[in-house]
Amino acid sequence: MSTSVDLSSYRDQHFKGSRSEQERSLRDSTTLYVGNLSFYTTEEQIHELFSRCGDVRVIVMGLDKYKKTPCGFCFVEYYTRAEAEAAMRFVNGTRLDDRLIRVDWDAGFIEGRQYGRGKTGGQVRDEYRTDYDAGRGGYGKLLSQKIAPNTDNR
Amino acid sequence: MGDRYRRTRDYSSTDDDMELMIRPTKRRRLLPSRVKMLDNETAVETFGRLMKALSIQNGCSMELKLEDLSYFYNDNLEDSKQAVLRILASCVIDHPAHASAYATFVGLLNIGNFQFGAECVHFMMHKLRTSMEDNQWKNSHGIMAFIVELFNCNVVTCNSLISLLTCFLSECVEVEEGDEVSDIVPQARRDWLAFCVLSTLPSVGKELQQKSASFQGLLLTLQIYVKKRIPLHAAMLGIWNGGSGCAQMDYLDLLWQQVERLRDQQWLEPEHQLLQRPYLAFDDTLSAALQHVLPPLKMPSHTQISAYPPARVVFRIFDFFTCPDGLQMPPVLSVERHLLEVQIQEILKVHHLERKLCSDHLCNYAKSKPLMPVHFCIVEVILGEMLQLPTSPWITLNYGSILVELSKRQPDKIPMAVMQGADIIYAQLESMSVACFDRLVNFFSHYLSNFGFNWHWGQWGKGCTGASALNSSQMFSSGDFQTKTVFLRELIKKCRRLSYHLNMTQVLPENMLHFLPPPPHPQFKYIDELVPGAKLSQLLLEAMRGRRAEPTEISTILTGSTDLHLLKINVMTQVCLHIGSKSFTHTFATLTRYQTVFKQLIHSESEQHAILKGVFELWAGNEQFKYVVVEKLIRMQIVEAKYVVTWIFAPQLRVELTKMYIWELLHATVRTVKHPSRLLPRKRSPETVKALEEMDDTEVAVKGILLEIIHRFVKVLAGSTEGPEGSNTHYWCQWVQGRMQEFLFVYSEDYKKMGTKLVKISEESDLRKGVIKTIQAFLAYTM
Repeated sequence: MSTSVDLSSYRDQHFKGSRSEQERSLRDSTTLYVGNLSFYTTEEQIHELFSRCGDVRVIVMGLDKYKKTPCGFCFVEYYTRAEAEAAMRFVNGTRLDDRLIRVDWDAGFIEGRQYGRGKTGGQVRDEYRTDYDAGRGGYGKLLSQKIAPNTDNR
Repeated sequence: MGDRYRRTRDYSSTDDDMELMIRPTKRRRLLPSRVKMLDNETAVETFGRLMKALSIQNGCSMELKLEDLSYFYNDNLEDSKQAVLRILASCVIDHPAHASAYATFVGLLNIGNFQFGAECVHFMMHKLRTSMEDNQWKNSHGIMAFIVELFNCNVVTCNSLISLLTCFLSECVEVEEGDEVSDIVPQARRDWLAFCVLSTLPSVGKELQQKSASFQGLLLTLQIYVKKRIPLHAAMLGIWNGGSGCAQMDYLDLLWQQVERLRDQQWLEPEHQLLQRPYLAFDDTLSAALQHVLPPLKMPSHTQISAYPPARVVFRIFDFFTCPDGLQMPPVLSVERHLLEVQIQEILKVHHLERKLCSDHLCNYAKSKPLMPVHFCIVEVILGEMLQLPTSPWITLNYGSILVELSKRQPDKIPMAVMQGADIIYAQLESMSVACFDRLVNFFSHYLSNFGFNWHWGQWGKGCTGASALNSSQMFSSGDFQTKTVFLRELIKKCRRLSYHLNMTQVLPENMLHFLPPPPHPQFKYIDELVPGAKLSQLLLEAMRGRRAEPTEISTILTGSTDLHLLKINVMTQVCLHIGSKSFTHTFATLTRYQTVFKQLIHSESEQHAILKGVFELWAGNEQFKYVVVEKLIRMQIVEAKYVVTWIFAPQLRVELTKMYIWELLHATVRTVKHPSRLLPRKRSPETVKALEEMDDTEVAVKGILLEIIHRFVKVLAGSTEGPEGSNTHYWCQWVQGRMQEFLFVYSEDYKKMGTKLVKISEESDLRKGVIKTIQAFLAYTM
């Protein structure tokens, strides 16, 4: 039977190493990826929520590669596996800033990973989205270019 | 024996029974066991799964499950007896509320396989003894419940069960004062033995009363024991202090009264099928069985290292309560209330780590009892465990996440029960123990954050006259420290920490806005050029921000300044924090860059207090920054934990002691001492971490800081006059004293080892009475 602390099916394609090495690091990791955050959610809010599972070692906010502003994800590292597991169990799928946030294991933060990997600088998912999401810059980047090509140059 | 089960039929004649009578002709098997023989390993594994499933409410008939299991055993597992018994033991230990189902399974096997019955009885009696020897008291409670149910399933004889119960109670038999037994055997042990017997009586009392003349004597022993014992811990462990409308009772007193009432009703079968009796469906079959005699138990005696389950006080908020849908909560003294709670507690205990699964099980359980307000009871049990004193079994967020999940699943039921519960707690806040205050605030802010902070704030604000959001510099007016005022203030601040200032201004009604402090911006006082130190701050700012100066250059600027040393530290601190004020990450980056400068500047206590003063000044309006930055300074080893303690208890922070963040900081400070591996530098191997934390030095340091904290509590309380009830000073003293108790509770394992030191402190001459009482009650409870 699956539990809340099992590895999800997502694998970071940029991981340097074999699939089994990747899974081993995920299994030993004390770092979490946190996704579906609002662009406006601050590090302080994340700290408040995640420190309820244990002492947070470090939070790395995900930033737009070009604008250097938050782009809706972050990494949270704890001191122990048990604390990280608590966050997987009790925070994943609950609300922060009125959004259901996603918490998943991460193999550990490496410099450069704090930046969005999309062409426009943010996360890839925000380029292809077709819905309107006020917390993540409105429509997806591609769609909003089509809708209003002249107003997106601010 | 034949009439036994026929007679007991009148306990209940349920639909399930009817179903059984009809079913045999078109029985649907749950298992393909007769079709295919399984290999040994698979069979044992399948058996384990099926046994666990006996404790799950899923609509399948219990009788069918039991029959299948016994067929499955006979077909596949005759050669794996030891494995089967081990699985059985782990099930009865984990699921004491389902002991009757497991006993029925054994009862069914015992009919065709007397040898299995005999082995099971001996195995369990052995397990009972070893679990007691190993201080696994909860385990032995489960085994005991199971053995008692074996009697109901006609597996063991009445006389031998009575002997076992008598053996358990032998230490509870009244002893003359000064008698050796009462001196040696602690009350916790006798309480537990009495509890073990008492908790089995609802399911077995009627039969024993009819069958055994000695049962009356047993009840009398229990009665005398419970009535004569003095539950000293009750006052300390009760969440509500005297004067609250919520009745709360010591767990053993309460259980006795519930059982006594049941006896007075001639052991009337509890309503709503709260007692499972699956064996009734098999009474004809079971009545043909031969019984075993339980081997006499050689009770392991008390030793120096024996540790017993702590006493509890039962948490109640829904007394004499009629739920909005007209369903009546079982009365407090009814055995139904006890059984309902026990079953909910068991689901929580087994599934608490998986909030979704746990919610499913709780919802299914509620569904199976449509005529009872189970939802209210679930909320009461969860809140009760979460607020439990001295500490709760799991972290607050665990309980909160389950309640959020339940609320999503049953939006028409759970949120209403949470609301009613919260309203009742809010109304009783004055008498709530300070030691569970933070848990309540943390839970509630998180719960609200999951539902858009939607709450009847206005109603809560009405009764609360207390004034503004406190600033340490402000004078405070009467009513500011009133419990409800403090609660609302802290709750709203915590909500803001999970959200943001503007949102809170939109969520809160007009009459509550005064509880919201001003936006939590930094306050950089050196912007005013007339303030001493402003010139130095300009130089530093320009160097750090303008040209990202190296630490050496900053040191040179500081050396060149003619300002006083402590002022320099203050300026340096505030400039760094001001530059990094955008976020924690920015702050940490600046502090790390100039770490060496700080290390050169800061050594003594007063120098360390100067940097702390800088933090508290710049972030006067932002408690979270104060707490996180100071914790970081300890981790960076710029500030020492012991000086953070002396800072917190310094006279200028008196008002701050009424706020939650300062205690958050104090706990975090203790944790840095407990886990020295978490101090920078960063990465350490797991082996180094373990070695560091197990060092004797660490234990000495932890003892040192915890003792220092108690000393500071005593001192700060001794220096305050309490004032008349209702005054700010009175509230302040009660609150700080409650915080001291919280420290004793949270670190009770450590404080236990410092018994003699605590005794010494409590004997000092100029102590406040409340302080002495708190320490003495703690010592009595733990020793």
